[in-house]
Amino acid sequence: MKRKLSGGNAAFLAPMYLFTVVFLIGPFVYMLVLSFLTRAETWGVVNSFTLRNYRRILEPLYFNTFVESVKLAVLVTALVAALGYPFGYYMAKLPPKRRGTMLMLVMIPFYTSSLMRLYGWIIVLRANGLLDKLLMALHITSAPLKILYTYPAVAVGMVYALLPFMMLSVYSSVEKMDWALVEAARDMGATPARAFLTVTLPLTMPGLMTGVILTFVPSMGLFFVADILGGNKIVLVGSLIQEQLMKVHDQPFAAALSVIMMLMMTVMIWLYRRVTGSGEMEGVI
Amino acid sequence: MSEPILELRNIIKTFSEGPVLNGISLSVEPGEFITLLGSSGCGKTTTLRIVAGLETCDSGRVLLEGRDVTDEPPERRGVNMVFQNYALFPHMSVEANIAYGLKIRRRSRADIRRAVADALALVQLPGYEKRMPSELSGGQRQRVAIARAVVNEPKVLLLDEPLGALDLQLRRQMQIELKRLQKQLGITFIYITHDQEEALNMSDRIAVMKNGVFQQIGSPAEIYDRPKNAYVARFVGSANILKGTAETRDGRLCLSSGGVVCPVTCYGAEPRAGEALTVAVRSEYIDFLPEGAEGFPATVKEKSFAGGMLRLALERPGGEEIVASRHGIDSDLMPGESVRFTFAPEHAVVVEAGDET
Amino acid sequence: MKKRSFFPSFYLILITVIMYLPILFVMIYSVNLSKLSSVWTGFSLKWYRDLFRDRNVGTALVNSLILGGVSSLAAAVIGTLGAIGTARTSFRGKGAMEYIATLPMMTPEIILGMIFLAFFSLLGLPFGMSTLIISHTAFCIPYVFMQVKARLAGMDKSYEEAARDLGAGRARVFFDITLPLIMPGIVSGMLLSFAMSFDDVVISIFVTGVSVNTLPILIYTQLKTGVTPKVNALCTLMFLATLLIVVLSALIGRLGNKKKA
Repeated sequence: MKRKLSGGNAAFLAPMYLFTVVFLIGPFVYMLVLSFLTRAETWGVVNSFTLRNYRRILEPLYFNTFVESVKLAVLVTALVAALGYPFGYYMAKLPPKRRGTMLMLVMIPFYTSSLMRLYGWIIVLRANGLLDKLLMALHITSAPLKILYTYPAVAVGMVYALLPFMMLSVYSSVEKMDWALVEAARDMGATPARAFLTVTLPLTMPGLMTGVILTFVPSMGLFFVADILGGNKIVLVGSLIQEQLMKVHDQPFAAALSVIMMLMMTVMIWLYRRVTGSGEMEGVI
Repeated sequence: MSEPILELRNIIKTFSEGPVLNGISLSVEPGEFITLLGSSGCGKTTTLRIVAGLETCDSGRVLLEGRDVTDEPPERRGVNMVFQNYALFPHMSVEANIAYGLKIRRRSRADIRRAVADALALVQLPGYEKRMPSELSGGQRQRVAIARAVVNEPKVLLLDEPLGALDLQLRRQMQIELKRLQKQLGITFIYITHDQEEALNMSDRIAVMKNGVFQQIGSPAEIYDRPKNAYVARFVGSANILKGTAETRDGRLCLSSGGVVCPVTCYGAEPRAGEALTVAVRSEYIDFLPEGAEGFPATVKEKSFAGGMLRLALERPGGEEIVASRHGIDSDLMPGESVRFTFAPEHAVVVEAGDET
Repeated sequence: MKKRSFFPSFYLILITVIMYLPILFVMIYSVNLSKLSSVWTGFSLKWYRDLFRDRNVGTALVNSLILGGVSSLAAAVIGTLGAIGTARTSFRGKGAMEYIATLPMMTPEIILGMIFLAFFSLLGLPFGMSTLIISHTAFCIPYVFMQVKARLAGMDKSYEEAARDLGAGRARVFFDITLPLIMPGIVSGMLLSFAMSFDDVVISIFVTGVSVNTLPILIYTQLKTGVTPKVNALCTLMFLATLLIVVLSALIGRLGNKKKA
């Protein structure tokens, strides 16, 4: 039986709520406030209200970055979904013993720094690197492709960094599925493809959507991928934020950019809740 | 009469989904084996949990040996419970499970070791001290759960459908063992079940419960032979219910139904002639009459064989179903045949009389 | 049973291999004699020797261990208490509170980095180990919270009731029954938190200031400025550490599940 909040239970809750209020709600609220403040001449912030930070996002330079970043996010999310959905699906259909091993194999990169994992791609993609050598040895190409520091390299890196999120969330919703429903659909005459489209896909939609949520907006923030694999050529919203914070020291503008990203995230989570009717995300851990 | 060991006074409990207990009162004698019998949702588990202190009641009092314990937490009540799913601590050995209550009471180590060994001997699992609960079968877990409770020498032992998870054969065997245990220890048992056979087999007294109210409290014989109302009659031994009006013939109360009049027994206040009357007759007391004799007409609908008894489903002209049962595996009666039946007056018990509903 | 198609297994293996290939290359080149990562000239452990002699690496390692240790421990305590508290009570705003507590899991890392940087400079906290610990604790709490919450949800309430019935007071029930039963969840949540903290780059970059380096930050700086094969060796060791932690956490989780049965 659930009890009402009593002294003993309040003692359990207090540390987390205190920490959450001070070090999470506090920063988030401050981000919102900050985005309406004015930047000081040299360093810091002046407490005067302005909409300038948001107006600045609409300037062509920044707006284009935003649009390009969203385009890349769409591409990356589509690739991640296309590669990750079948993976999570097949993984969930493995026999239990091998499923555990496979899950572990996915968890390891999930918890390994994506930076480290991306570093491996430099070795593969750099001019005269492993990929070039392989392609030339097979006589597919005659000269190095020089993929590193290009748009495709950044896209590959992002897909690679974000793929485990999709795999795990799809896996968790497919694993929960009642296969008798698919069998029932087949029994009523549906082809395997039709049964998949009308039963499996709708039922595993929460997993797919969680994967999309964890891929789309976060991909716009992966500044280090653009840094390492894209040279200085590809600029993401994340790169802008990082630059504004670390180099230009314009905190209000960085905050405005972050608010927009957070807003996109919130809209996606809201949509998820509307569609699935629940707040629980699929298998985030 | 000695002082009751447990007394419930007008307990009322309401959950957010609605009322569960509507003012129940019960007095339990020391050493008694009392069963709360009812279908799921009747409030029997809630009653038990209120006695254990795991649930609070909205109003009413709980008295243990005359002491008001209504506001005492479970650990200070001196009653113990055998949980439906046993609730053996999965991270402790059998020994640690049984010793748990004694350790809290700070008994000496030697005492505890002896008490655990005794308790295991009592439930016929000697030498199982070092096993983990996951290594035991369902029946063994059940025994350990009982040992863990009785080792504390509780004033009252509460058992929440303890045999529910066992298969039929094991259940019968455990029924006998539980009864033996209770006699041996002399502890008061409050036992919960939805199985009327189990209740009739084991109990000194049975309290039949429905909708958070005790329908009847009495010995198994009383409950079986003299049900107070139609619900008890139906629930315990699935009796047939015949409705009609009261009539008096030769100074005897009779049931008149469908033009047939038959004497019945009434343990309560006798209704006056012409009032509505409901009578319960158990299936084994339905007698068939030779052709031409006066009795209730019916048609044989179905014949089946179950549990060593032949079961005949009859239909009265009004559409009411009557079940008759016989020992043996077949009878001459065939479905579709017309029959007449009656019953001995002492087996037809008035369960509702007058115009009350 | 129909004939099993070979495609699913093929696909799973292919993607897994591609996922691990870059890591494998890093490992291979960490024992390469040559300074160039495009040619293989022979086996050597010299980069590991160089690595162990590098004082910066040593300090960064100590920093990373302190950071991971303290923040995962703090997250374990705070997250566990929070999960127990929320599992036991119902009150208004509980759902919202739970949502906010798990927000760091849903928030892009860069935004967490940004808000911590801005907030800490507002408070005037000196950037360094303390700000690192606060921010890492914040993003680790949800991992412990979710693990313990799941364990509590799967735990039969009658264990605690049985203990009280046998005479244990509330505190005793907690230490004798509840805590041991949710321990696998706490430990595995804590290990995963440690792995997250140990490997974090993005948030650390924003809140570390100038004085404190962690291993991932060191790697990031090296990748941006110029790579020596020492990075290969460092990445290899960090990967192996993560591998160990994740496997350990999974084993502990499984152990707990077996006991429950």
